[in-house]
Amino acid sequence: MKRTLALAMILSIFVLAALPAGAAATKDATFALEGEARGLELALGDQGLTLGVALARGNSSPFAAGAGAGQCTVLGTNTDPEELPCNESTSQKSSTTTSTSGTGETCAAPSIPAPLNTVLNVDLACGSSASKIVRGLPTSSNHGKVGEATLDLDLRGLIPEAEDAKEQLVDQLQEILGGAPEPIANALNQLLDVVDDGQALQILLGPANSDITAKGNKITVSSDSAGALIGVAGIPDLDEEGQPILGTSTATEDGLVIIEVGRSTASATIDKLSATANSAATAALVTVKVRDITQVEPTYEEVSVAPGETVTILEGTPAESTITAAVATKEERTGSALAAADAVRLHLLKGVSGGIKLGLARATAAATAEVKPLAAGQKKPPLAKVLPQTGARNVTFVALGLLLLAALGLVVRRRFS
Amino acid sequence: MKITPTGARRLRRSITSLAVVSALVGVGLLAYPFATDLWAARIQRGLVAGLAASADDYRLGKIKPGEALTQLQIPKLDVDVMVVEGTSLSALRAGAGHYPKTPLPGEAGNVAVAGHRTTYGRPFNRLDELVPGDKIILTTPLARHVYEVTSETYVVAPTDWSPIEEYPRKGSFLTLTTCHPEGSASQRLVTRAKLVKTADIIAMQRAAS
Repeated sequence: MKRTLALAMILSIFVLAALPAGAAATKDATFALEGEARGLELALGDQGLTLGVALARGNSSPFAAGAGAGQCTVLGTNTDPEELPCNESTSQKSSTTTSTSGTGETCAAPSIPAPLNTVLNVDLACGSSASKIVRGLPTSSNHGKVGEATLDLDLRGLIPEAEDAKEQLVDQLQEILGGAPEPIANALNQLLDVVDDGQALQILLGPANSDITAKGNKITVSSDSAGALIGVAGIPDLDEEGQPILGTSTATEDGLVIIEVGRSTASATIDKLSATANSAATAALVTVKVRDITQVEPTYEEVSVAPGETVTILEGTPAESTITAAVATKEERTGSALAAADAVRLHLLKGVSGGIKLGLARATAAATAEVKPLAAGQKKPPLAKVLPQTGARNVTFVALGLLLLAALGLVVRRRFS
Repeated sequence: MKITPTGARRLRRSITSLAVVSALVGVGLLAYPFATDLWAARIQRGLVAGLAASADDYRLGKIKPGEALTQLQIPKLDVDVMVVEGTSLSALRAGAGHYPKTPLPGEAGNVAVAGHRTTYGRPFNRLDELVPGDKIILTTPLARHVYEVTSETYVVAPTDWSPIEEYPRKGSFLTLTTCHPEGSASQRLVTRAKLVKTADIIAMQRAAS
């Protein structure tokens, strides 16, 4: 009896184990994602370049690609990672179709095109990019950054009217100097005398990043640009005789104007089971600090610029400059989402042949997803077309269970002998 | 309740019959995978000669369902199997079949092959071990094509045709599918690769001689 019970229990276990597990029905959408971040876009006359660029692309093929670059020419709307006009020694590209992917970072001193290189100096520029498919989903990580960038005030080689404009600016500053303490007045006078050797603009730029990540059924493209710190006309230290010491000014610490541009972010997320998309964006905040030159020690008056607002400084002079704070927008529809953090716009020295235009901390992200709908009037087919079945159910447990049943039968049979 | 001797005899015979049938069915089920392996091996032997003889039909794109299309080798997994044209149940008894309406090996687009995982020679049993960089070789009567795995294997629903229908605009690609998990047909396991090298068979043979 005990043997019979034991065999019956083992048989039950085998039968239960042989029952097929329920197959979870899944429903995937086709989707595509794009992300882009730009650190700094500079235009001077008809010359221009972009510093710090990151692009990411992905779709449900699966496919992933990207690019990270320290220095590029003017990008405009050209955002194909394969065709970016970027300095190859400061950039990397990656793609899952060509199986290319960068390792670490690629860095070099960027080559600034002439004649922009006569006034603009950029420290090391770096780019990195890696794309791969993980569990059938696209992933990509891309970054672009530069070290310090400085712009000299000697624009004569670039803009013919620069000399006249500089003289006007100097004359207007001389009027202001009358109210400044003597050490400051001396320093500024010396600065103006040697302005051709001076550092007019110092830019410390944060990195630009654009990534595609996947977690569970959600795939996200996120872009961010870490902003910048811009200093205009640093004031040098003074020696014992009250003379300015050249090379001791740091515009981002003691400049006449310091502009702080914060981080911008944009992201879009797809749920590949429900084919829904959502997005989020935050624009970079801008703070303008103007130095009180009546004080020896650096003292600043801060002005926060509201999103979309424009602030003008040195109005009415050739050095008139405007700062327009960025605006963040997002748009969500069925199956698509777009997020954009517009660039902070600086237009410096507007009175000097168009001036210098800077666009900072721009980030965008877009995602679309689609479950193919039936056309109007089309009937849903009764059975879904399935991929070829190339696996048989594992019947080992059933077979062993039947053999045990046979053994059980022989044991029970003896009782009726 | 007391059972009469006649009743006991009948009961004994019924239990014996049930035990014998259960044993036979159990043995049959255990032997089924091995039987399919033998069946597939027999078909494969015939396909080897068939591939060499089909060069003209291949050139004209006239390979019929069930006929040899290409030899598929995966060195890492020690796989060497003849792939037939078609993915019907009867065609797949050879072990692996080429999806109709997908390009032929070496052509632009996405060549797709389905293979058995646990029966009929189980050529794709260890497909989940492939990683990016592994090589897959397709040898036709005309050329030898080397594909390189581009992504980790991944799982899709049986009704998800995106691995077959969606691929980059440019280039030549290969997709292998099989059932997942082992012993189940509830999902499909997918491996994707891209063409990295093609060598003309006739030129290779001339060079060898």
